[in-house]
Amino acid sequence: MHERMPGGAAVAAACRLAAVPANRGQVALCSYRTEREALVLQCRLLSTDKPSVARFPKLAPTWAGLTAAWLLFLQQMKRHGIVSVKVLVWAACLAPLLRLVEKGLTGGLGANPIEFVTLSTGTWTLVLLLASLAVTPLRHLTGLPWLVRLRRPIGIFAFFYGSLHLITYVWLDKFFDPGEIVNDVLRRPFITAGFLAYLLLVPLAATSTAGAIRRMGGKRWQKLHRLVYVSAVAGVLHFWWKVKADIREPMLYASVLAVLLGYRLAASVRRWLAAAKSGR
Amino acid sequence: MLIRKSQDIDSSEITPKEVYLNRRRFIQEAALAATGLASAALTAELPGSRHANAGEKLQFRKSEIGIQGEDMTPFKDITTYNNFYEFGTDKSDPARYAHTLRTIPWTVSVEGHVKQDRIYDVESLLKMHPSLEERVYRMRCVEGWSMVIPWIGIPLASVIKAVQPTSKARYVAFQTLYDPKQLPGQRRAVLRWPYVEGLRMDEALHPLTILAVGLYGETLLNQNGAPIRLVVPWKYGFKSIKSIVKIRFVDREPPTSWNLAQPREYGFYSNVNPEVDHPRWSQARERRIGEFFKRRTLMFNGYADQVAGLYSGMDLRKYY
Repeated sequence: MHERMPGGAAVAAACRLAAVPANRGQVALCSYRTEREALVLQCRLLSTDKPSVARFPKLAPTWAGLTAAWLLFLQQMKRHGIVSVKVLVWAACLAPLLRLVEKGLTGGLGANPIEFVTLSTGTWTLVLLLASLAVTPLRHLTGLPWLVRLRRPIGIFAFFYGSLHLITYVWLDKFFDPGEIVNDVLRRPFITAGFLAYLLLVPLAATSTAGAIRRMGGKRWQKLHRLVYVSAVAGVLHFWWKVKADIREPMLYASVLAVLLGYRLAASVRRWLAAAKSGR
Repeated sequence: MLIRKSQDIDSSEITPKEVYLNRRRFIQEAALAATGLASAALTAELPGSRHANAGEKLQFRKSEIGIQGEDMTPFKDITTYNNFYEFGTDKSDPARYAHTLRTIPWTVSVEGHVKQDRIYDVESLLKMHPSLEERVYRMRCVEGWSMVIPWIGIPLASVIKAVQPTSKARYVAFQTLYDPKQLPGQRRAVLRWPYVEGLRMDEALHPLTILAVGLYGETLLNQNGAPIRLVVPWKYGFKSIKSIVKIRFVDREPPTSWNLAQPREYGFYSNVNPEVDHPRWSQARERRIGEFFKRRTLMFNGYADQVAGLYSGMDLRKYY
């Protein structure tokens, strides 16, 4: 089976690396979960010869790569604990900044470096914002509760890149001209959306400490932090409205966001139905 | 300490540039002769022509028309930072992917309200003017950045006079090559292909308007619109259509690609105008490539003295 799929070999290699048994492309992660249901789900998610993956042989290497990364990630957690996983997340979140600095020092930012920095920081803000929103669905699907502990660093880094993005605009694009900035924010919808997306992240970043959660109480804190949904929608709109003609990339972000928000919507509808049933 | 120069290749063994360029051209012309006898009949006189493959030295004279006292944008920036959606929408895409475009042989069809519909090769178009000229022009992109480029080309007016449009011709329409094999960006409908542009006849005849075949003394690289492109320095860059295969004289305002895509954002005229903003961003300033601070954008990109008269009495907010 591995031979048939281009990505099969990579998965097999990943399985060897992660010291988990691999059988017919079905990757078993039995050592990580006791609950049978979660295990079956993971096997289904990671299998490379299931029909949906087999239909797109070109995607198989990507799929295998993702599988391998996921397995290594779980292996890291098992062997070295949550702190080491957090170190990995930090490194991944800092990589785009380091790449920018490296490019800046070696003249790799191209003919229009300020535009490059603006686009890059904006992109990573969105990517990390969506990544932070993916944590909860991923946690449910995999049954790995500790994933939630990665949400805060990812969210804070989204805010960090958003701040860099805003500073680039205010400083290097507008040179602190208050008239022009106010005019932009009020009259140009794509900037209004971007500004709103950032503003909504500020209270979330400010209340990201354990102390803030304690002081506010979990319920209120959670309510406040639902603002991230609005911020993400505004952020995607900001990107969409900014693009001149090629909407492929904003469409990709919009689709991911739709899936992530759709998942939550479906979950709350299910909860509501269950509550209605039991209340009767 | 010993410092030794590498002597692996004797300088006499290195093929001189002209020789290998000629060989390349020879191969291309041989391919042309073998594959397209019909087009070969139309494109006479390729050997020894002034028009040659991308990146070859050109004979030209420096024109008195154009700007002085502004630093020219480095060749590397002009050739790696491009909007040429036929090769992809990222600024670095054209430099990376434009090698798929074959510019030899190349013909331009001149048609419509003209004395005689005819297909010309680039060389015979260039012969309609005494010599190639170097024109140093500002180039202002609608996105808010600008360059200063030493173009090599001839006035479009010389071509128009030579082909003799009829009295019905009030506008000139231009068209880029349509061939998704050579221009892979055309496989996706980012814009309606082929790319089309147009000018009013008086704009087309204006002495600043040129057909360019080179920059920095060499033939155009594909990413800059090889082998022949329009340059209209007082209009936003997208008006200066690249890799032209058709010039048509028409009696009514022709459709233009960006106007078709976003009519409220890009008008037919698209003159550089710091007072008329793009709906989504200000046009008051621009970033000159290579500079840190932004410059004020000048009316008609600094060519107001020469071209403002073309638009006297017109409401430039309405005709943006």
